[in-house]
Amino acid sequence: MSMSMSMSMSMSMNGSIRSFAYTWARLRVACGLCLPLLGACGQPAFLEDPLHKAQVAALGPENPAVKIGPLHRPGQACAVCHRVDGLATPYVAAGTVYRDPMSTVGVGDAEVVLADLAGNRFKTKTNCVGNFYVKTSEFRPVVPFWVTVQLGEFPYEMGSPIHREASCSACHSDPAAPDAAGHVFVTDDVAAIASVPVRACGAADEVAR
Amino acid sequence: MSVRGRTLWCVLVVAALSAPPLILSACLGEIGPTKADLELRVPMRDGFDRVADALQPSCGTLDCHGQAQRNWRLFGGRGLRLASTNTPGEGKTTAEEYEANYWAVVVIEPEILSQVLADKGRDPERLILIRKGRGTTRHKGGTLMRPNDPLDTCLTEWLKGNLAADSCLAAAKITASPVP
Repeated sequence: MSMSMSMSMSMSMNGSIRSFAYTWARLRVACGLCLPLLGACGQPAFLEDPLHKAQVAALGPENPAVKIGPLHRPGQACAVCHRVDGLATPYVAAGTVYRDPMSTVGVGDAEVVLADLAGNRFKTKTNCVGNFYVKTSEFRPVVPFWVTVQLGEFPYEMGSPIHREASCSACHSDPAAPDAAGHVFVTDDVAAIASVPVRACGAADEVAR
Repeated sequence: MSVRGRTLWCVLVVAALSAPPLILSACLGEIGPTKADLELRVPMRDGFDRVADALQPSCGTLDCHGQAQRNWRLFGGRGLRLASTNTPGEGKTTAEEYEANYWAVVVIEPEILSQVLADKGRDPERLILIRKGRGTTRHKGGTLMRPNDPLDTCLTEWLKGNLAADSCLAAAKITASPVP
């Protein structure tokens, strides 16, 4: 709704609605002026948690060659921005599935299944860069929940359940270390790596659910 | 000096000489810990490995107390590793990790733990470990166990000096429920 529209509509409305429309218009103007003050994940700079700000800074800038959407920032901690109190769509789980433990070649069309303690299931698939996401509006697991990944004959089963963390890479970061499990992959069988299908991106991959 | 005066003088001298040691011993008694105060009970170490295995999937995952940044930390084969050469998911929980977990549990509230053990595990909710697990104290990880479920039984029996092996094993192997 534009400012002029809201002004003209307010002419025919009762007092309270007219007042709301006027306030809304003023807010929109004010927000427009405040845009340069927006900080990490589009949150107003003055509301930012310094720790969260540091997490966002650690992610680095967007790749200018990749549009913000399902294909952006593979391998990064999605839930730094895609969290319940953030401005991006909140996720229950999100991450990137790679072909093997050595490389960072993402695999598309891998089936990702979330299974929770109560027997609920949610299935989704990775896109061409290996990214997948499950929105909180799509699935509310009874924690803990477990994740399995299946690409053709290659299964990947998590030994540990997930209690709180929505970003796969928070625990599956590289390189593998005492506190990091390394990235998620579909096979570590050197002989089988070449047979793992990797596909090019299409227009459908750029469309968010 | 009269007899009465000499007697009074003697009493004052004796009092002056005996007062400092008496005051000192009284103060030491008030401030210093007695031997009994220092004798804290600790739960049985034998069998704790199974208790640690039970804690692993509910408490010790990498997104909970299996994080190096947490003040209460648990180690395990599928979570945070103690040795710099080990990684999560590769290999079993080591003897050093079990030992570290044992002391991690014991030193949360050693005095209260000692009292619970002295009472043969009665009223285990005196321990924050049990309250957090049951969710009766605010716990970011929520409610992870309820009385009589496997993890709760494993822990509370251990506090009684027993090992509920079946319950510990069941808690260690929690998994997604089948689709109803």
